[in-house]
Amino acid sequence: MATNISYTVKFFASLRQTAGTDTATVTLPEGSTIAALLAALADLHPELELDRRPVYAAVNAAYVTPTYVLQPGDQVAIFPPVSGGSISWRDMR
Amino acid sequence: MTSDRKLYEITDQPLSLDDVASRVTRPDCGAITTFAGVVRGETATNEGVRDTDFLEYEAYTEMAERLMAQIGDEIRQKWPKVAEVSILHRIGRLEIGEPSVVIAVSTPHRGDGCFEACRYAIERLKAIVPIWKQENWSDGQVWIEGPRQPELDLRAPSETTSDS
Repeated sequence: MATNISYTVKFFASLRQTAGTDTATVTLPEGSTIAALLAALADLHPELELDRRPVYAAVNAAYVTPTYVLQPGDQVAIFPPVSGGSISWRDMR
Repeated sequence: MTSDRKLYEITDQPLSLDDVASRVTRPDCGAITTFAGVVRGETATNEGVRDTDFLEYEAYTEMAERLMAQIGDEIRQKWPKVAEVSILHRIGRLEIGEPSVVIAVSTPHRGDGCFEACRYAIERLKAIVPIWKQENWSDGQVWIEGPRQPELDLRAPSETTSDS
């Protein structure tokens, strides 16, 4: 009997524009991962085509991976790749 | 230095190189490098060169400022003689020729890494800091997305999975 927890998810840039809103509320069982949250968002906002595009996620203003386990009170954001330039610049010293 | 002049800042106000340089000026530093990223009037696209009307920048401000400060920390790890780093990025509507980002790095001497650190700062910013730009033309608009960073992409194929 898992407890359900609600998270507010912020959208940015093209995701915000496509969704027509800058936030969504997702309710998930306790102990859910970011991957589960993304799957729930894909159902809630099919127009975002979240399963077909690169997407980054942050919790409490830091990047997270899909296996991150959500904690009550986490501030979640999802967004497209940032507007980087075209130069690749690897590990310079 | 007054407390309202932050070293890492997202702002909707116009930027200047003099301002960012003054934020890293210290009596023990004889070298300051600066970089400005400026709105270009034309963009190469698949359909050829397009004339840009203006750009609209959006940021996840809280995270962007944290990551810009993290870049400053990374710089001090790589170039320990760097004294101060300042990165300022503007958001909102920007016209052609206006700076969207300005960076300054100060070191005691010019050989202490200020040139390299300034380059590192702009490349890292473009790779990881959550800022997006929307190009606006007379007949449309498009969000620019940078190259996908596999280590940040939730959709990145994991390990050996082939993507046909």
